[in-house]
Amino acid sequence: MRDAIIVLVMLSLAAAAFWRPWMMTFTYLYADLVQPQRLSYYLIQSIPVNFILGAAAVVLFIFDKKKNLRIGGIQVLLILFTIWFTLTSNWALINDEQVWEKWDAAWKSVLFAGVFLPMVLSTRRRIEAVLCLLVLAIGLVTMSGGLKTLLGGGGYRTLELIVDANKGIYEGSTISTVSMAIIPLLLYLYRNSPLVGRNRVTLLTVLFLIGCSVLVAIGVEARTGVVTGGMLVLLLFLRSRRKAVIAAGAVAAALVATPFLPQTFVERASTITRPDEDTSTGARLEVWKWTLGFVQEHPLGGGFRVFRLNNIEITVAERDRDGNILGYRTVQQKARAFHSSYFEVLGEHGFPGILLYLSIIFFSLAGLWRLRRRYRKGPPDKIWASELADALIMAIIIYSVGGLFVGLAFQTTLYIFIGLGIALRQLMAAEAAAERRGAAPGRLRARLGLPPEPAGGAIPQPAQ
Amino acid sequence: MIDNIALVLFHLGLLVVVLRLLRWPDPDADKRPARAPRVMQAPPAGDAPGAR
Repeated sequence: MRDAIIVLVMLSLAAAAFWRPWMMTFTYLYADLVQPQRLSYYLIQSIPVNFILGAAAVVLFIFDKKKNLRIGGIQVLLILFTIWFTLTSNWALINDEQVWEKWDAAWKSVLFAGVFLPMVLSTRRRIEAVLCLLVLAIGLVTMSGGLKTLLGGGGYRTLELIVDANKGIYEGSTISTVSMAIIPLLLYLYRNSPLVGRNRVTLLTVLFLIGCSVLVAIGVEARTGVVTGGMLVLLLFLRSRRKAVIAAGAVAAALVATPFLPQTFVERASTITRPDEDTSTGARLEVWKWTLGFVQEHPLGGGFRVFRLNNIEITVAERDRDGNILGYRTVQQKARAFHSSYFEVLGEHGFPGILLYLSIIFFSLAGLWRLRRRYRKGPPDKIWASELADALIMAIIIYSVGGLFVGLAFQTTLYIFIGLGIALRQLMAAEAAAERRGAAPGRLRARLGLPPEPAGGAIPQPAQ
Repeated sequence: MIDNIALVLFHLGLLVVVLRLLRWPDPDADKRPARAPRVMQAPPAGDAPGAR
């Protein structure tokens, strides 16, 4: 039954592409985000769904009458980044299947979501449709995890998130970052989107999805969720005109929620500031140190998954029941993952890689910031662009903060945020250019000292 | 069970989005050339009431 529904949905979406070619890109994103092959029991598990849909999306793009063929600066950086990590994969220190498996996922994320998507999203409704798909797809995982947490099924590495795969948005720390990052986008959709509409049903849906996002962040018991949640509250506070209300709400919510939080979550969250408390925090710090030493010897990086070369020693404190330190023990660990997007890119792709990665994030944020400021006070029909830019800035910042502690550098979600930002900026630039072209005859008349053109374009007759 | 509920809710949401997407007026609709108005033709004289 589940297989039949998934296949039916995919076929319906793909069929819509025959008269709306861009819908194939929408279908590809559906397949990429939701990963129906993993949800399916048998029907489409063996079919390369993503490859077929991706190829079809590119072919149908040719027939799209509204395609945007502009390539902006950030897209050039994304292309350079792809070329660079392809080169580093070629000279990877451990050049095996795992390297090319990660490369395969990475180039698709970067090029499809970051470069191709803005070429397709040339109208506001397309941008908002993809935004809805994104929050719903992440909502699928947060609904599954959130409802299970509510029924007492939470726990670190024990909460099952719809698919039994510790990868992508189905991994605990990743979902606790992404679930917080989509909250500003959910708020934008409710407040501004004509596609979603502003009524009681949409308000309840948005509140339900936000509730599930918070619950899943608690349920997976990843400390990243505490950091990203804190950043979300801080950003909402800074952006809000009613700061006192937000501050009072946050304090009240914390006071009310704390007694209901699972004890295991509180204990795990409390170890954030004590790196010697468990092997996970200690291992992060040691791997980061190892990476800094590694890039001194290999400034061009060691290729994807080079962390498998590390061999680290972690010092862990042993405490009694009252928390008093009894002594320290040393734990030897091999092949510990980077646990940070920035150290991941630095170790794998060296200084050129981290420079490109940081430039992509920086210029995305800077461009959105300029757009936000430009349309913040109007005209009224363009305030939505400022609001969307604001939501995307918050999403990228929350994601980047989560990336400090989790290796998220090549996840599709980040590149969708960046791609949406590029699409929004190019759309507004195209509109501004069209307006300038439309206003040109008037400007010309003014420059020529002629009176404004009469309404209806009637040619004034000389006086008899 | 919960996973299936989440899947149904997700697909319902997606269905609503796609339906609203199809109903959202196309911003470029007014830029397309308008269709020529249909001209009502007068019936042939022979069919006019009272004609022979």
